[in-house]
Amino acid sequence: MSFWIVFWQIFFVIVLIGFAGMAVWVSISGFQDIRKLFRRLDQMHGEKKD
Amino acid sequence: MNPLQDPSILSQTHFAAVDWLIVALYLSISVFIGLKVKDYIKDMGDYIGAGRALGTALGVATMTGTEMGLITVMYSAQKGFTGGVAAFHIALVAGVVTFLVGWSGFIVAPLRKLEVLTIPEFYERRFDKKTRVLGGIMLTLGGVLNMGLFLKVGSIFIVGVAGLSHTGWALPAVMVILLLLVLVYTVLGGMLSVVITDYIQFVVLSFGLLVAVAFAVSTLGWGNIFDTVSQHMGRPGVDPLAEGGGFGPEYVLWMIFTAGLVSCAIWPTAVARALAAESPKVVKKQYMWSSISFMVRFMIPNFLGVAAFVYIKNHAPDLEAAFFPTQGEPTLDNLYAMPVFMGRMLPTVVLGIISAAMIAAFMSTHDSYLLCWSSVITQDIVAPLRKTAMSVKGRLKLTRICIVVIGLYILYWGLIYEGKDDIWDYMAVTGAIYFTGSFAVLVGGLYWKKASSAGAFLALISGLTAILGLGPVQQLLGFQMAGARVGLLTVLFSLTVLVVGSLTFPDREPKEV
Repeated sequence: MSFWIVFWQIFFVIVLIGFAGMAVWVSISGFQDIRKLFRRLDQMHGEKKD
Repeated sequence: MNPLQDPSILSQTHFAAVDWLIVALYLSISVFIGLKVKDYIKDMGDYIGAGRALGTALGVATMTGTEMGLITVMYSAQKGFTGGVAAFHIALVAGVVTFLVGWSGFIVAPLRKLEVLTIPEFYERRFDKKTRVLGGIMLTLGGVLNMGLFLKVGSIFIVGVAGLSHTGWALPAVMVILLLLVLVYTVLGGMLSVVITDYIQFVVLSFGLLVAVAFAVSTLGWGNIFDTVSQHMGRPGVDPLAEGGGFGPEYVLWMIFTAGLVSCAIWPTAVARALAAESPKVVKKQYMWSSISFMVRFMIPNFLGVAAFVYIKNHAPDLEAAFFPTQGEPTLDNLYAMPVFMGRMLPTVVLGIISAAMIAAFMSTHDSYLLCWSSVITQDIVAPLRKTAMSVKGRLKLTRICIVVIGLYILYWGLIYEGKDDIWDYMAVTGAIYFTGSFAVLVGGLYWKKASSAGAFLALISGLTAILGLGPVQQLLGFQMAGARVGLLTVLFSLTVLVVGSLTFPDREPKEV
């Protein structure tokens, strides 16, 4: 039983740290992606009009 | 007095007027965005595929935003509450399998390469129109039934965390208000508003959940959480392979398939993100990164459910009497455990921010699911069956009507369904109506040249046997079998049907994609 407790404790901490790091990256890069997405949609709709 | 009859049992919360204000402000911003991005919707590709222009980080955010909804938080917390830390195995298998799917591109990369908008569209390209229509019907049936309890469960969170009465009209009233909010901005904005609000939700919810975990650990004590679980639940509370608890080897295998493979590579709302990505290469990267959030979406709520259990056992005798009554007395629905715990543990303002994030999570899941099922009805059932081509305007209008109709159905289903299964198990079984057959057809269609239209058609129908896993259906038919076993047998059955059907009735002119 103690094996599983230690296993889940280590698993929990590692995943939590990984997630915190990913959350920071996604928050910053995701914002840049949104700007890119709208620029691209503007461009695509502009091309369709032409 | 029976604690369950006391309407004030949930009222000891720190949720105050300022928290309502935070929630209202957040929701107003979401609806405003839904209205704002409406101008960018020019065609069906924009509406349901966001122009196929999502970058990796935004793809990860929107995939997480959709898949880490309030419903996920609630059913995972319920699993932690009833199954202890052994429930973490669901998170582990979900993360590992998602990573492997991303690494190999299994199913998702070839689908994206084909540039289809929906999975049934692939069925037509690979097989024929009738397979597409049947695929659309099965998907809608399983999917809509699957989301039938979302509205109720999400509303239970709000009632629990805000300390409203669990008896009377509070729950139905919250259900109606939430439904109206979701319908307004899904109908208006489509996938673009979904993507943007998913991103905002990702940011707020990610940091909100991390804060909630920190509060739970500092309130209850790290070691004490694990000690209390092993003391009250014994070995099954920590070892997922132990029999006698809620899990065991068969259940773990079922989770590898459902929480792992299906959640990321078969379930259409997740696959929709793959299909909206810039390229197959971005899809693979997106999946490898998302494996972390696929793990977290189960793990953190599991942990909060476990923390709620520990809190109730050690610090709240009134709640213990309601959730674990002496024999014969009615039990308070254990879905209330996590929100009530959060309401008592977190301070005002923090509670408002986390509640706003949770409601946002609720909305982002609903909008994606409503959009997904209704676009399948339009694109894969109605449009292929019509003799004349449907205009873009007609398709958008029909999709929006379907969104409203499905919304009304989930309100109705949430009010009448009385099954006793854990929500996650209910969802796995109802979803299996679609995904067991779909798994066989997708794998066969993409990787086996001899897979035929007849085999695919029969495999899709065979998925219907999964409904035997539901408690009320078993009661009706007078037998009992674990949902996990029914699900695994249905997977094997569908695969067998595909192989036998394809070999017996091969296509005259086999199609390749």
